Amino acid sequence: MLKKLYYYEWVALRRILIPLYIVMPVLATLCFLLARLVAVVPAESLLGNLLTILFATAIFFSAVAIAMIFLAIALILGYRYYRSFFTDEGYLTMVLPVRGRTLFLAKVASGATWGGVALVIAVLSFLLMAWGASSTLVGSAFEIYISTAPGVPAVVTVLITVLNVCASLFLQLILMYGAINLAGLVFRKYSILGAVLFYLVSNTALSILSSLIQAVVLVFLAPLTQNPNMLSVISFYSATAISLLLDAAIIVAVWLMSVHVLEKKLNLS
Amino acid sequence: MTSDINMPLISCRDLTKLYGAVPALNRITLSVPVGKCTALLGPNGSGKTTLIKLIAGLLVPTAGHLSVLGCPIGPETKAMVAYLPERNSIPEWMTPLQAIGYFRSFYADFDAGHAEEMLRTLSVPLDRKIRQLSKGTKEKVQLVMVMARRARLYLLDEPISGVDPAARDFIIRTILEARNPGAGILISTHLIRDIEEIADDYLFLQHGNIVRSGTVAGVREETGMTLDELFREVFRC
Repeated sequence: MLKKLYYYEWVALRRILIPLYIVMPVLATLCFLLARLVAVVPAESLLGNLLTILFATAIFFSAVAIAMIFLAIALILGYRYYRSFFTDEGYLTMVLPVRGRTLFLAKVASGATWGGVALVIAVLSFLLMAWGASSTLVGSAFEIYISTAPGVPAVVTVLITVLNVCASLFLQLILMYGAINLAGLVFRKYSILGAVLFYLVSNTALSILSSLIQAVVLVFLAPLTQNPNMLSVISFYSATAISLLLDAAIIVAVWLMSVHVLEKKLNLS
Repeated sequence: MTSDINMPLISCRDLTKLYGAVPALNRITLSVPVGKCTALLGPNGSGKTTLIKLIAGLLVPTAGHLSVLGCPIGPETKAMVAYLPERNSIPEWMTPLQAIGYFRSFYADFDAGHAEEMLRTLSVPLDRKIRQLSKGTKEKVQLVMVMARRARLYLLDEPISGVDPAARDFIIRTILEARNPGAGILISTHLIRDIEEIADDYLFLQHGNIVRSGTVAGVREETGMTLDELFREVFRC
């Protein structure tokens, strides 16, 4: 049943998301080609000046557009989730002969897949635009980023960054779905507004909690060493560990709450 | 599942559903046998849709017990219950052909060939998106998806209210064809005259309570009235 639910989620979303996925690399490619054109035309010429202005404008608006498309994809995933449970389509979804946890798992798996693909395409698009702007820009930016964690091997920094980003985005997906479930349970009217409220409150609370825990941990760890580099390494790893553990705990809590709502509490009145 | 020949199709005991402090259903106790077509009748707000939704698993009871063929409401009962809501639930981006594929994927008792045949009989365009169809045609598609299942229980919430008279006759014929000794039908409707010819039993609901119940044949024998006339008598404004 899970495979079938996942498949129909894919069918439902592909006609909206695939065009958006195509737009991102197209914009990036246009910027890249414009950059190549700027490179071959003499900068002092009128055409060169015009192309430079056009390129700068294109880079700016393309970057904004790609960011907006990424955000729109997240909103589309949320709205799709809301529609399939809390609107008339819920009369179809909630009478399927599957448990609520299976329905939720299918939604999360589908959302994580589409969201993950969107992230990869967005990142590659930005890298393409940056490479077009300057072939050394990406390398310089990478070196600056690696230097923020001195003493930590570059490979470890990159892997932990990727892990953190994936965990954070997965957490945001779960928080969004959890907020929609909770709002659907609590509010009979204005549940979308309620979901936005719950999402913002939970994110704020999570940020504060994470910062507090990291500060407390650093207070205890700081006396362990007088070496600033070692302190930097300890700080890096402890922040990562706290962040990942907190994310995991919140994901489990929201998961259990969502399954409970879908299986025991939801009323489609 | 063990033999369920003598087991009631639907069994409620003290079933209650509150919306805040308002009782939509107030300690309903009833038993609907297998093989019968039961008409669920009552004025607006009497609790008909609430009862149907509780059986379909869309609502959670506030109190009481509810089961279908002895099973508590859950995935097992949803596999044997075919529910027709009064609103269109099929996603608007689907075509009727895609809807057939969807139902075939999730319901083992769904007869895709029969569904396609019924849609062609009703002249429903199979490759047009649901959003492009008229309201009445959407309702026909939804009804066909439900009636193409070989379910143990059909829950039909206002199945004939929004369709033309010719389609109404087709729907009533389809409901009659779905009748078999091993299945049951629970129909909620305001068009009592059309349902009277196919219903075996009736339930009158008002303010969440059962005010009267019995067999349709018994109404004629005992009162000399039709079911429609009895309804107007009982719920006179």
